[in-house]
Amino acid sequence: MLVVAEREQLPVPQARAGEPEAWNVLFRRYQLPLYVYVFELERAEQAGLDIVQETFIAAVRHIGGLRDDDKFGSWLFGIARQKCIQRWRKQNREADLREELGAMPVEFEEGPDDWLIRKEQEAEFMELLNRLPLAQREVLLLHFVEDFSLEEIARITEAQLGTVKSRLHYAKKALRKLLEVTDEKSA
Amino acid sequence: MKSPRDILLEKHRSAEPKLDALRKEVLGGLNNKETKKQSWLAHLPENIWRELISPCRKVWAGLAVVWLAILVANASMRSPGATTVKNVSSEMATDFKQQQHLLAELVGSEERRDAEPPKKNTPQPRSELGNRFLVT
Repeated sequence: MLVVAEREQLPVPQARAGEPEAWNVLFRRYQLPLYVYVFELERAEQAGLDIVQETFIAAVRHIGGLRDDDKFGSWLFGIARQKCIQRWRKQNREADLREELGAMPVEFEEGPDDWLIRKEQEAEFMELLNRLPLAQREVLLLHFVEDFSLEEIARITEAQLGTVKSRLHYAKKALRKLLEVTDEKSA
Repeated sequence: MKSPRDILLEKHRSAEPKLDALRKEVLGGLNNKETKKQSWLAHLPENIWRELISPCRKVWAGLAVVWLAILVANASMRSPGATTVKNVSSEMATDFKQQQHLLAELVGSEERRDAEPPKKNTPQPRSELGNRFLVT
């Protein structure tokens, strides 16, 4: 079972007080998930590393603006996303994020814990992830990598809650379809 | 069987050494900043002398001289000599008045040149106004 969203005791108040060791703990905790998120959006290693570094620097600089210490993770991902958008603006890629989807389905499945992927499906999973539209991909990444709540994802992506639900629904649907197809093939 | 999270993290695990280096770089900057800040505050008077006053001593000396000059000038304006200036100016004013009076006598017009007091313009009925116009 995936247990990411459990309340962690992160040394955010100490980091706010300027303790380097607290920052070390926080950065160590988030460096890889943050890199995964940024890399999968940017599709470039160096850009991913640069954005993670810029995000850390911005976090140190603007920690005073964080109101709720429990929201440190989503706040950090929000900064990283802003850095990505700044980069996309230069490349005129910002429009990729604006994607209109159909109405949100009535029944909505929450929690990534029911997703288990067999070894032979891993490559296909990654391939499908890359094929998804950027807006759906980023929502799915935030959901899978950090198990952020829908509200937190909406805050990070600066989207309406309904939009986030729709994006996640369509992304999961596409993923489930793929896994079913590969299941049938293997059977 | 793996969760999507595990798959994603494992795929990028190879980037960890670079991320560690990056983290240390950011923390190094943070440490330097912190130690610099602390040491700067600990030696505040020395730092003020070294960074603010010492590099432009001539400018500070010049400013001090200017301020001294301003203070001296200000003090001298307030000194008793200032009352004599007042007396002189009042004497000059009386002389001027006398000369004006003399000039008026010579010209021969001793009439008072004071302006007439303004006539009271009290409101009147329109009928009376009309009669006055007729008379004129």
